Amino acid sequence: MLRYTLRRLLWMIPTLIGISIVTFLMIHLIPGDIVQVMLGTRTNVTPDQIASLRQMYGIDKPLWAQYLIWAGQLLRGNVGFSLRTGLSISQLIGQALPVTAWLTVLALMVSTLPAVAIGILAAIRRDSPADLAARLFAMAGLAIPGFWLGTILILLVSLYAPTLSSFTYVGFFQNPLGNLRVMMLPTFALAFALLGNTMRQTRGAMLEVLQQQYIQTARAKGLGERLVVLRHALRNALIPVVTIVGLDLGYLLGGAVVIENVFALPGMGRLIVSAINQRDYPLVQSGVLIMALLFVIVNLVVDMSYAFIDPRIRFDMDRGSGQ
Amino acid sequence: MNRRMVSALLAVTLVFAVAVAGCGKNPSQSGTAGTTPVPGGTVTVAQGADALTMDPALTTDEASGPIQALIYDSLLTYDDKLALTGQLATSWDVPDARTFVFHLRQNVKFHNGDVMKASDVKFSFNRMLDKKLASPWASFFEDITSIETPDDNTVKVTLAKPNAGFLAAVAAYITVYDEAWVNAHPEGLQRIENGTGPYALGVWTPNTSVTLNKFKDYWGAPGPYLDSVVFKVIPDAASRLAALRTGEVQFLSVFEPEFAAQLSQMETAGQIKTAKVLDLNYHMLGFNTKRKPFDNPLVREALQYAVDRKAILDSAALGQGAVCGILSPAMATWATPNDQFPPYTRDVNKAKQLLTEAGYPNGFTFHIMAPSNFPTDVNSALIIQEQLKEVGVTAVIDKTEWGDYVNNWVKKDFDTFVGYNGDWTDPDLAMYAALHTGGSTNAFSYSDKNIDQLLEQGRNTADPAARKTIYDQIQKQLVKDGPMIYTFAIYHYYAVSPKLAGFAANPWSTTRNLELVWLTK
Repeated sequence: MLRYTLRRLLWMIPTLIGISIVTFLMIHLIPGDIVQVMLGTRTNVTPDQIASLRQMYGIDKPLWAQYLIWAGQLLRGNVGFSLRTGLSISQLIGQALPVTAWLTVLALMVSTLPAVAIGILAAIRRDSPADLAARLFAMAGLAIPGFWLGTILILLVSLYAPTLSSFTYVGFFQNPLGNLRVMMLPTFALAFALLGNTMRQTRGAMLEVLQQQYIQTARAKGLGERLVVLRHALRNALIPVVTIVGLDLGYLLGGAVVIENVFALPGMGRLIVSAINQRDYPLVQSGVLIMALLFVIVNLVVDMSYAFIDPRIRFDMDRGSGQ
Repeated sequence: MNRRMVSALLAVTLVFAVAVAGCGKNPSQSGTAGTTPVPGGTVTVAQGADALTMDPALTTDEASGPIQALIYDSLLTYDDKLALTGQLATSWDVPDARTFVFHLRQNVKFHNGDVMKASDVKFSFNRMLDKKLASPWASFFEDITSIETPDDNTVKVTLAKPNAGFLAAVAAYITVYDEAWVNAHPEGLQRIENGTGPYALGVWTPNTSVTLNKFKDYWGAPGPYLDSVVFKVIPDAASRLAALRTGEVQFLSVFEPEFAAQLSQMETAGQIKTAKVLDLNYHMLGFNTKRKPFDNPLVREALQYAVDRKAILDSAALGQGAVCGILSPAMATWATPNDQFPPYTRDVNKAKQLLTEAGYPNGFTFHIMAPSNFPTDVNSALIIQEQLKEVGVTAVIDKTEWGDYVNNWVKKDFDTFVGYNGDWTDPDLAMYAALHTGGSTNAFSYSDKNIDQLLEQGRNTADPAARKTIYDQIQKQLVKDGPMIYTFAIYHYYAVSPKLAGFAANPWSTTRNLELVWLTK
């Protein structure tokens, strides 16, 4: 188990190096550089000026040199500065990441518990009106785009409950109530889609497990239905659910751009998308790298959690790491 | 492409109906209740993006300008009727078309308490020209041969050759900086400021909000009245409107035609007050005149006749604007009326006949590059595509990401493109760089001896009436075989809380008049 974890941690290094190269190349190779985007189509500039701007932003050097300069900075623990705003990237990410992480945690909390509960109920009452209603609800969650739901929520709240509406982000520790007021609608908009997906996964996995022979055995030996479902079935059905929730967690930490835009949350998604639009190279590179790092860590944690849910996997891991 | 600070817009009729007092700097002239300015309070303005810089000389984005407009001053500015007026200069003389003498306002203080001197103004011109600063607006001032300060209140600028658009360029791009303070901050002015304007920079939380606080020693009494102005970032336009409705935001600029209907509903319900001004930008389809078939003036003329500009305006911008040529009707003194442009009456037969003459009796196929972040322009392209089908011409629309679009534009790698341009208050600024052979924004590769000559004349002529005749000639030739099909200028809406009094829409700056605004309750 420990060796398995260590091996996975070591693997993160080449993964992150690979990601840093790919990210670097992608943002540098797309047409339009930072100077072009900054100048747009209206400024009256001479080629000399363009050259001096390119020099100022350090994009006059060959790509490999630019990469090495950036990677060298990173290794010395210097994430660098945003070219367009002059702000330190660690400060920008330090501001945006907590917002995104908090939204992620809230949305997962609000969606996962009810989703699992409804999923179980829908599975054990298969094809009942309750199951049908749950499935319809899940389909709605999957089908309704978050930005539409977000906009409609904002509109409805601004009309009928204006005191609940707020676009002024405050940190939870600064002002817990104010924070929850800002986070309520985006959490709901985000959780709605997640809820549908998680619920469907739970229901599907439960249905499959409930048909297994060991469930029959459990029932045959006279266990109560509650015990059968919660101890024998659910635990086995959780693996795909945890996988889905883990993936969601990874993606959401990258920032739910659309939700962040609609609700004016200063999170990671907005930070990185606007950096891409402005071709703010170091900010894009470092931002994506940090997201990738989080994604890799979350994946690792998800994989580790399998071992706790299912002892057989723990055994496989130990055997695997012994090879 | 567009700097909203310079977003010079014409105040059509535009004092807010309710806030009678606002116009000019003498609010005591009105007798209606609630018209005596009350100092204090905070007004929140919502913008789609955070400012990228506080240094006006390096500003090219749309969110920074409206904030800087309250912090910094120029020598000149434009009043609510778009007439040039003094800001830090109280008056100016133009002894000949290449000499400009500015008489400076006295006892003007910078936010740090320093008093503005003629040497600061001289320094500010030199800073604009500083190669190390690399201001994208420097080329407007390259003809300067000397900047003298005969006394502490006077600055004399001499150009190598006459330039009738010089004062407009000064109003747009010359910001007065404090020489000693700038020299003490070699790290640059991106995140700090020391202006002479009514508000000073307070707390700036990246991607969230910028708070400006009242500057007590502001030269332009009686304002400012508000203690602070907060610029809050709300990226989504529908969310900005919702925030206005709930009262979280009290001031909004709306450039999206699709929200016009909602604004008028909200106004009817008494939730907001609105005003609209015509934008100085023109929307257009630009040709690459080096590429076939657009190298043929007959083809360009044919397409001028083939489109119905009113229909494009009605569909793409929901009718929220006015059909125009290269100068938006907002520049009323310079814009040639549309009825003097023959192609502005659509004539499909004439278009077909011109195409046949040009050697394309069966039409042709070409590409339109459309910027995906400007839906109004993408919609324009769609309507133009439909209309051109009727003359047998097939357009293929390539929706293009902004960076990619600019890259193609710089490399002149396109058949045609849709977009908008403008924001100028002087025809020389609007036309010279875009239309002169080899001009820096002439992405069309347009080259016409007659136009070149007229542009030079327009620049060298000081007399406004004579200039008007010259620019009329240019405008008429442009809609015949010029490098663009001009379509329309859109309305820019202001939506403000009913609690705001004293606001008048200014054609030059969207936000500067907030110095005259107060809260009624």
